[in-house]
Order: sequence, then structure tokens, then C-alpha cells
Amino acid sequence: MGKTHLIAAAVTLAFVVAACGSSDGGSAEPAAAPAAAPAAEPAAAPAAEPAAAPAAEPAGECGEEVDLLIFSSRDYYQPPDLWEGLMERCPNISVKVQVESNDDILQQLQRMNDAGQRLPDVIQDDTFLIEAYQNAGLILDHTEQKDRWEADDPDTYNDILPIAWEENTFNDGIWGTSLTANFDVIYYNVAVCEEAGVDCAGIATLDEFRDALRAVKASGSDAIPLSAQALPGTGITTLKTFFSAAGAPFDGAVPDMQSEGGLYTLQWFLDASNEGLLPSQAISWGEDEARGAFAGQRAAFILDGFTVAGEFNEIPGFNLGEGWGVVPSPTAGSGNQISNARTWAITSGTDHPYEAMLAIRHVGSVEQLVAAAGNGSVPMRNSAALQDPGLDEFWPFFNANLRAAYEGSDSVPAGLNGGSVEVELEKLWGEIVAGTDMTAQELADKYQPILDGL
Amino acid sequence: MTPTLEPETQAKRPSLTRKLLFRSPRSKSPKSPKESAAQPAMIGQGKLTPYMFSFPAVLVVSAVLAYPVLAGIYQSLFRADEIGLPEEWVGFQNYSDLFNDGDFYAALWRTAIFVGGSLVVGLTLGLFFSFALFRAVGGLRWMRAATLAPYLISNVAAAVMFRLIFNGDLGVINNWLGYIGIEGPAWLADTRWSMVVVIFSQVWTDLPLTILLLLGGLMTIDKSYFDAALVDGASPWKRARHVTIPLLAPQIVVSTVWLSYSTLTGLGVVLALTGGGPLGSTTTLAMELYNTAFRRLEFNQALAMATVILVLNALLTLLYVRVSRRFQVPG
Repeated sequence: MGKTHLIAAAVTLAFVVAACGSSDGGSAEPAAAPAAAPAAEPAAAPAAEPAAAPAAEPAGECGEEVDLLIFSSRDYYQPPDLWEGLMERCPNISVKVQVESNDDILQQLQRMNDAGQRLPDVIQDDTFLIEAYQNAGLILDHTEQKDRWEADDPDTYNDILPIAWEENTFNDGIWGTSLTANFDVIYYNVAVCEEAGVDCAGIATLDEFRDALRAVKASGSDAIPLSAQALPGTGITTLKTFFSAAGAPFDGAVPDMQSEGGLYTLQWFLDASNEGLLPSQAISWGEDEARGAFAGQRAAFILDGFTVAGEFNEIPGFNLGEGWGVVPSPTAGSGNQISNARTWAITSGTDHPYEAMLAIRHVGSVEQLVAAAGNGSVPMRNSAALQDPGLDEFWPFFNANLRAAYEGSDSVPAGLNGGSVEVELEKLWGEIVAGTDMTAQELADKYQPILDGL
Repeated sequence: MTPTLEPETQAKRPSLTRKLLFRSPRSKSPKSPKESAAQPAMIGQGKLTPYMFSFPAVLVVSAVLAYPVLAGIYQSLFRADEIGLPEEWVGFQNYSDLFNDGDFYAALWRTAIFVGGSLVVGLTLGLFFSFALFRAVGGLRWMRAATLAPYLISNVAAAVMFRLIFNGDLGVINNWLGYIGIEGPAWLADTRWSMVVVIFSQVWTDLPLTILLLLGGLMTIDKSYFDAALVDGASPWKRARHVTIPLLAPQIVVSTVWLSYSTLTGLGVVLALTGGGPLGSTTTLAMELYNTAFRRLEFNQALAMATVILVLNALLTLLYVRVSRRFQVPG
């Protein structure tokens, strides 16, 4: 029994020590940790990989000896060997990455900051949250590092689309770099379009799109004209995409539904719902049902994210060109497509902002962005990468129209109240899809004050 | 028919148990001379001894269970103006806002339907299946183990499965109804049916544990009670009403508390099955809490909601225990 008790005590002690310590090399002493971390293993990295030295960049360009900790929100943004490539090029930089896919990096950093733990050096998160990070004092102004990038390497710097910086510019600073962003496109069923006598590949405006849906319905096809997601929590991007496409102005994340574009969007969907172009059952459809209806060739059109094309492309017997096609989401008036980004930012916890920016620059290189595309990532805000022939291997559907639409897209309207706005827009979206007797103006009158109050 | 059959058995067992379990540390239990010599002045024979020995356990339980709850309640008294900004003390403002919000009462009402419906259906089915499995003999005993199968499946996975089963177009339920000439409703798209499907799915995931608890209770009932009731000429209903159910009361209470807790705080099924829709018809308190915390990112307000759910849970548990006393066998 004595031995058992001894083992139990040891295990308990181990748990206590593990619980009290930081698993990431951090410590309970915030001030000491960042400075101590690089110094803790300074000699190990170069000594362990002396062979990498010849391929390395001059020490000045790679900065100092540093261990970088990176929190990334999804694994598919990081192709295999992403960080090994950086560490080979710059042996003084050691990178450790944690994929935090629970969408709670902001909360984690707040807790870590409150507890005095070492923060990661770089984070990647939804762009609309970057203002919250800045509010909390968790990230650094990017401007100096961005300027240094421009001075050090103007070629790669100029490849980055300006929107990557613009949407992170607020409160007198640039707070991150949005290297990748997804966007919505229209997928169409080629056979159904032909049967209805519609040139679906030529759809460019929202009016043309509605006419195409009506033509499909009139053709007597069994296919649902438009498949959509309206299950709470899943489908609100469709409505936001349409508001932007119709030119409805936004105040932060709040669309102006009383505007011409706002009322046009509401009327567009009311028509679609009332005319049976948009099934009322879609109110219970999430991604599986909506995409399943299209992939199962039971729907003529679906508005969905660009990356879904890869999944459609893998369906046997439903080939790109013969089975399905894709066009940019249509617009009306002064409207435009929007792209929904994730941003890389340097945290205020780092003592090595330059080296942290080197890591971001590495992620934003053409080679790595194209490799990430093959890893399931989303389109990139890098003009050279967008034209790279290597993309054709992974995205044969990424035609010139889509590339042009993507390059010209605006940022998703965002604000700190974005989540609350989405919850209310979902109620509006649900009412429309389920079917309502209200007019577009009445819906706008009902929901606009709610949204304005958020 | 009275529930106090064979009083001798009732009376004897507790007294024996008392002798065994609640023996005083000062009682003069016979010790070997060796033991007596080894422990002549053993510490811990005072009044504080039990407390001293319990203290580490109380401390650990407090740290693990009570601290997060208390910290959550404390945090519910703060609020940040915007995400990321420092939280400021607002007292009971989060609670005041909650109790002045119509959506909260709507969610509360839907939660009452969800909890009440799940309790009625869950306990009824639980009793039915546990009685049936209690009678399963010989080669049919494997069914007792098989009943646990749904418990092995994550409730989110189960909800996704039910989303397919109840799909208005492709679901097997409507397919079967179609065979007999009935056009099934759009279960998950119709506000009149969505809560029914949610209750059914929740009960399906919780039923195995309910059955297990009730079946365990049935197996502990002394068979002589049933024999006596049979001799008295009691009908099956009277045996159930006056013998089985009173003796099963503790297990029914535990099942009720468990089902109640599971549905009041249950999020997985609702989230994966309907997301609170259609048109908010299945937005329970737990779903509203999820929206507040993880979509609106209003964590302090969500903690106020969690505290209300905690209090509701406690009140319901007290209610169940109180009601169950009426049905319990005296002694």
C-alpha cells in the first residue's frame, strides 16, 4: 500500500506541476518569459542543423535567434513543409505552430494575457475580429514591418493585393495582413440549363440570374431552381453577398435595407420564395442538404463558397464543364462581389516583430500560397499567385472570369457587432425562405431598427 | 394494497446496515493485542477528526466544481462595451437586461416544452423498456446490453442522423409514410413539428441511461413483494402502481433529475438538428446561451444566462425530490 500511495502522490504532483506550468514554453511570469524563451535554447537550433546554413539567407535578413509560436485558425492554410521551408532559409528562426480551430483564439489570448502567460508571436484569425484584438491591446501595429517588407523585397511586396492591408487599416494603424479570402460563386447544372434554354455561363446580373431561375421552373424540370442554406448558423453569407452584390451600403456589418440595393435584394428573394424558385424546406437545410441537392443533380443552381468546387469536382460522372459550371456571383447596379478573409497579425506579446513578419511574408509567398491551394486552402490575395499556372492543377475551375471577380472583390462588411447582426439577419432570412406575406419595405421597416440598435 | 409489505425485512436491513456502516470510532470493537499495542495514542480521535480527513476531499471538490461555478457567477456581474475592451462591473445589469428581454421568455417557454416533453416521453419509454427488459430471460438477455447502443453514439452524430431520417424530401420517415399513402410533413422545416423531432431525438440519446437506471432499480426489488402481491390477487396494474413504482421511486427521481438536467442544458441535439430553427421554434435557453456566447460574443451576458439555468436546475431537482417523497415507501 505504501508503494501505491507513493506512486499516487507522484502522479498527483505531476498533474499539479503540469496544470500550473505553461505547455507552450511559456511561464507564469510574463515579463521574463518572452525574453527568456529565445535565450533558453539559443545554441540548439544552429547546432542541430548546421547543414542548413549554406542555403540560409544572410543573418541580417533573417533577424535574430528566435523561437516563434504561431496560433493558426485552420490547418489547411499550412501546406506540408511550410514552416520547414522558413526554418531552412532562416535557421535562426524556430517555428512552433498550434492549430486552434475552435474559433476562440481571441478568448485564449485574453485569458493568457490576464494570467500573465507568454502570448504567441503571430496569430491568424477572422478578419472581422482583428479590431477586437486591437481593442484588447493584443496585437501590434503592422505599419513598420509592412514598410520594411516593401523596402527589403519590393517584388514580393507588390504582389500582395492592396485589400490585404486596407481591410486591416483602422484606428491609425495597420493591424494585420489578409493573405487569403474565400468568396461566393454561382454553381449551375449544365444539363438543367440546356433543358431550360438558358446560357448559364453568361449570367452576370441579378436580374439575369432571376430570369434563369424562372426559366428552369417554367421548363418543367424536376430540379429545384435554387438550392440554399437557411439553417440557423449556416446560411447568412448568401444574404450578405446579395446585399453587397446589389449595392446596398453597409455601416460596419449592418446593411442599409432601406436603400435601393437593400430593397432590391429583399424583393429578389421574396420573388424567389413566392414563385417557388427557392424551396421553403431550405429553412432546415445546412451545408449537407443544400450541397447534396446540387451534387445529386436535384438543383439547378447553388450560391456557395469557392472552395466547394473542389468537392463537386470529385463527384464521379458530374464533371466540370459537362455536369456543372461556375460563374462569379452576379451583381446589380453599383454592387460588387465580396471576399471573406482571414488575417495574420503580430501580437503585442512578441519581442521579435520583424521575425514574426518574416513568418507572415513566408506564408504570403507565391510558392506557399499555391501549395496551400493544393492543401484545401482558399484563394489568395496575391496577384502573382493568382496567375500561377500551378493553380490549374488544383483548381481547374478557376477561370479568368472568377480570377478577375476575385481580384476586384471588396471586403466582407464587418464590425465588432458582426455576430449579433448575423443572428438578426438569420431571422430575416428565415422569414423570407419560409414564406411571408410582408413586402420588402415592411421587412426593411421591421428589421432595420433592430440592426441599427446593435 | 400497501407498499409496506413484509415490514420485518424493511426494519431489519437498515438496522444491520447501520451497525455495519455507522459504527462509532469509539466503539469497543475487539482488537488484537498487537493492534492495541501499535495504536495506543493514535491521533484523530477528537471531534475534528472527520473534518480533518474530509478537508482535502472538500478542497479538491471545491476547486474542481465550485470554483468555476462561482467564478462564472462573478463574471456575470461584469460587461465589456465592445469585444476586446476591458470588462467593467455592472452589478446585476446583465440579469436585468435578461429579464426584460422578450426573447428570453420565449426561449424559457420553449425550454419548458422541451424539458417537459422529454421527461414525459423519456420516462414513459424508459419505464416501458425497463419493464420489458426486466422480463427478458435466457437468450433474450443480450437485449439489455443492446439497449445501451445509442449511448455510445455522440448526441451530435445522432442529431445529424435524425436530420437525414426526418428530411422532408429524402428521409426514411416520409418514405415509409408514403408507402401507406400519407404525405409526411416537412418535419424540420415546419414550426409545428420541429420541437417534436427535437424531443424525440433528445430522448433517443438519453433513453439508454434512463433504462439502465430503472432496470437496475427493478432488479434490486425483493421478489417477495411481488409474490405477496400475487397472493393478494393484485392485478398487473395494481402491482405496478402500489409495489413496483413506489419501490422504484429513488431510481425514477434520479432518472428525472438526469433527464431534466440533460435537456435543460442540452445543446448538441438542438444545435446539430435545427440550430434553433425554423424561425426560432426550437431555440431553447441553451441554444440562446450558445448564440449569446459564441455568435454575439457576449460572454458575460451568456454567463448570466448560464447562472439562471443553474438556478432552474437546482429548483427543479428540489421539486423532483420533494414530489418523489410522496411516492416513496416509508422507512
